[in-house]
Amino acid sequence: MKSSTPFPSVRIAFAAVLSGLALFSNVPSAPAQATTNNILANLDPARVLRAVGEKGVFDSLAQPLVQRILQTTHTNALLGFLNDWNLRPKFFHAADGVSDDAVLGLEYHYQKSIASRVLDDSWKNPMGVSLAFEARGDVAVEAQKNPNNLLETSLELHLFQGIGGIDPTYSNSDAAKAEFQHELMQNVLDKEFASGRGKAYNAMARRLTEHMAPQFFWDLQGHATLEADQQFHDRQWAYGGKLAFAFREWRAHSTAGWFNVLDYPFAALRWLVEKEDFQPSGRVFPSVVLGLDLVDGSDNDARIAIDPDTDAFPRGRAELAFKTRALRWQERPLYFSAAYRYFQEFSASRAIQSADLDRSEYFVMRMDLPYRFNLSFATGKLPLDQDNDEVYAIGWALNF
Amino acid sequence: MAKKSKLNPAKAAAAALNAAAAPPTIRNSVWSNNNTACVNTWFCLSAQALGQIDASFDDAETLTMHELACWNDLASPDNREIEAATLADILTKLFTNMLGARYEAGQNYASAVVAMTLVLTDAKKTVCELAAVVDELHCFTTER
Repeated sequence: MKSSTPFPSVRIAFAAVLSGLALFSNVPSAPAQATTNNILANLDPARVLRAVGEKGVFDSLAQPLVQRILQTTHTNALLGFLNDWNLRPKFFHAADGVSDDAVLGLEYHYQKSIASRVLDDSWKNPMGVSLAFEARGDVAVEAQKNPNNLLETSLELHLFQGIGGIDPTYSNSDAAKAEFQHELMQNVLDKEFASGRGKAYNAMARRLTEHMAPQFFWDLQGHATLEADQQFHDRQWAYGGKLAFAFREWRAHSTAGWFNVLDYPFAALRWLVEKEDFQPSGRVFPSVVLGLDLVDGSDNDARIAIDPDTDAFPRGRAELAFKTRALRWQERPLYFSAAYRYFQEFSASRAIQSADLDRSEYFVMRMDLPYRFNLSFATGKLPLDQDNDEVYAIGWALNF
Repeated sequence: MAKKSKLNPAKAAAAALNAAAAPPTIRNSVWSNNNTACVNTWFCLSAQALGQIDASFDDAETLTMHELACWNDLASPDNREIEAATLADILTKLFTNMLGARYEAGQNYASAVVAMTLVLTDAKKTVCELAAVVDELHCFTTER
C-alpha cells in the first residue's frame, strides 16, 4: 500500500522537532555551551531542514540528541546507563528497496536487571540467577511498512551457568596473576604489541589461552511476554520458558572445532584462498534457543477470524544462529551469517491447521561481499505474519 | 549579485546541531593504555585471544558491538543474547582466573555476566563503553 503521508514532509517535520528539542535542551546548560547556541541562531532554519536530507546528517543529529534527552544527571555510575531506555531513530526500507517506500521509525529496547545473585560463590563454575524486565521492538510511522512488526514486553527469570572455559585443574598464585597483569600493562606501551602483532603479543596471547578449555554456557529462563504488532490490533500473551545454550572452544586450533561440521565449507574456503590451515573453528558453533510458550491468542484478530476458539494454546520454538568468517578482503573479514526460526503450535484445531497458522518457519542467510555489498536469501514467515515470502536480495551495508 | 556563501549548509548544520546536542561524556569511559580495564578488554577480545576484534589498541576504542565477530544481524535477539552471555562468561573468567581480578563490592559473577551481556547485545555500544562497565564490575590487581 502506498504511503498516505509524503515521506519528505515526515522527515522534515521530525527534523524540526529535533532542532527545536536541541535548542530547548541547551537552554539551561553551562555558559560554555552558549557559543554553540549562537551558531545555531545564526543558521538559516531552512538550510538546517534541507540538510537533514543529506547522508549522515540525520544520524549525527538523532543519536546524540536522543542520548542527551534520555541521559539524565543521575546516570553517573556506568552501570546506571543499563537502566535507561535505548532508543534509535531509523529509516525502514521496504524489501524491494524503492526509496519512496522508506519510512521513519524508532527502535526501542529497555532492559532492567531487577536483581542478580550467585547461588554459591565457591563453585568453580558458579550458577547465576537474575530477574529482569525487558521491552523491545520497532515502531514505524506507517505500520504497514514496518518490516519487523512485532513488539515484545516481558518479565524474565534467568538461571544460567558457564561450564568450563578455563581448565578446571588450572590454578595459579595471586602473585603470578598480578605479574601477568603487570607485564601486560608494560607491553601495551609498545607500539607493535598495541597493534596486536609481534612476538611479545603472540606470546602473551598464547599464555592467556593455553589454559582455556571448551566452554558450555546455558541459560534457563521463565517469562511472561506480551507480543503485539505496533498498532496492537493483533496481540497475544505468551507464558513459558526457554533454554538457550552455546558451546565454544575459543582456542584457534582445537580438537572440538572438528565437530563443527557447519564450518567445514568455510574452513575449506579459507584453506584454499587464504592458505590457512584447514581448521573448522570452535568459536562459531551455532547457538541454540528452545522455547515452550503458552500463548493467549484471544486478541489476535487474524486468528479469531479463522478459529473462534480463544483458549490459550501451547507453542514450541527452536531458533539457531550461525556466523563464521569466510574470507578476508583488503584486511576486512567477510562473514557468512545464517539464522533459522521454527514455531509449532501443539494440538492446533483443524481450521488453524488448514489455514497453515499452526506452524511457521523462517530462514535467512547472507554472504558478505567486497565493498560492503552482500548477497542474501530469506524464506518463510514469523508467527504474526500472514504471508510466506521468498526473497533474494543484493544489498549494501550502511551503518545508520 | 549576492556573494555565494562558502559555508556548506549540510556540513555546517550537521556540525552545529551535533555540537549542540552532544551528550555529556560518560564518566570513567576514557580509553587509555594506562587503564587496566581498557587494556584487558582489548587484549582478551583481540584476534589471538578470543578473536572478536582485529584492531590495534587505539583503533579498538570506537569499535561497536556490531563489529565484533560474534555479532549476527540475522540472529533472533534470543540467539544474540546467549552468544553475548557466553562471551561475557569467558571474559569475566579470564579477568578473574588469569588476570587476578576480584569483583568490586556489591558485584559478583551473576551481575558481571548480566551487565556485560547488556552491553554486548547493544549494537551501538563501543568497546570503550564495554571497558567502562568491565571497570565498574572488576577490581584489577593494579587497582589494589
